[in-house]
Amino acid sequence: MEVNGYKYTTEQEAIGARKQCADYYGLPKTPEDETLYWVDYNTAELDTPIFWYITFDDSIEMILGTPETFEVTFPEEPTI
Amino acid sequence: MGLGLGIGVWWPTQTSIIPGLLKALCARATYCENKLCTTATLEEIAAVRYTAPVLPTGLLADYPGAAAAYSLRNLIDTTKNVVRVRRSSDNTEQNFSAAEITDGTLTTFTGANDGFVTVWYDQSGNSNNAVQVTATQQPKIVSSGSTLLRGGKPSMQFDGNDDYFNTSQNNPFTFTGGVSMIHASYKNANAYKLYETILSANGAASGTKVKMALGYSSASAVNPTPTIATDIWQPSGIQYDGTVGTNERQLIGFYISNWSTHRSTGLSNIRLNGSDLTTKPYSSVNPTALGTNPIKIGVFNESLGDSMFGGEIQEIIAYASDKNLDRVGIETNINDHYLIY
Repeated sequence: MEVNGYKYTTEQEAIGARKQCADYYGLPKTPEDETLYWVDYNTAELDTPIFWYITFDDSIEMILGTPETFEVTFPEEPTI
Repeated sequence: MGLGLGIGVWWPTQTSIIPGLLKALCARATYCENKLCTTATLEEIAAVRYTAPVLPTGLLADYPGAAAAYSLRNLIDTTKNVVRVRRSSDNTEQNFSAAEITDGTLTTFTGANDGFVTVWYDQSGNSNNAVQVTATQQPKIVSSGSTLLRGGKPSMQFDGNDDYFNTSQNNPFTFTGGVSMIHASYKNANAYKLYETILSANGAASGTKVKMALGYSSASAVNPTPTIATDIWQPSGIQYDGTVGTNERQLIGFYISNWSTHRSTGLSNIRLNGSDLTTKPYSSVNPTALGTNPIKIGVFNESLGDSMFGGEIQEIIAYASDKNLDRVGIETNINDHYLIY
């Protein structure tokens, strides 16, 4: 399935991008707050090689730049 | 006339004392028979007043033993906060009681902005709070300064894209034990996706692990669709032998005595808006043993967009037991508040 977002070849890169977004929005605001991130990353674990990605949101374009479109393999609907 | 203290002190007859107090006084009096009591002690005894214990009230007092219980109202009157909300203006968070959601405290906090739920507190006493740590995946409760309402009661909106909650404790359900899940919700006007989930246990962040779930399905395995179904990904559940619409408020209950055999006719009960439904198994696959992954609300697999619920939820109660005998009482309590049907 086609996804619009940001693709990373290592999980560390995805974690770094997630932190960039959280820092931009000042998260977490206090140690007591539950909100740690602005966006989170996903793992395309059914793809080879495996990769990590963040789905596009208007609120992160100014942080992560122009998104790209790429294919992600999702689990097939199971049959009975 | 005294009570036989035997120490030569005048003691009034207490003919109107209630039994509990009398028992307490007698215990102290017996003590005084063996010890030399001062007047002050006797006055202390005389001052004792019986105070009846205050018993909790609410749905969870009437139907105790929930494994997890989430609501925007108090399900038991000892509840303090029901949600923690992040306001969009500056990401500040604050806890709110059910009363504070409706009395203006919440919207005063958010101002003319949006409010998102970061924590939906578990009222069952098990502290299995539902949490979403990612801002863009938090369900909305205030929109542009107005508390979201459905049927005149506060409601929490799941966008059907990536909003959901995690919990932290191990799946409370057992493979051979009973399961009861009841929810008051509203399905938005969008068409049902393949596996929209209200509540799941042992779901996963990715992959196709065995799980337990109650939600909606329009998957090809299920017929007719869209409908209410359990365990729609495994697939090893049952379905309502009818269809449900969109843009509807629904009070749905699911009651089984044994998860491992719940596909067997007569052992499971799905209810919609106060009525028992005709159900049927939709596959020949039996459930397999559950793992320990925690409860999730609004999804069973975060990587599977088709399992994200699109709509609003006002209340979810889950028991790791069969509450079939209490189903009418529980649902009546919920409907008396939300007036769904």
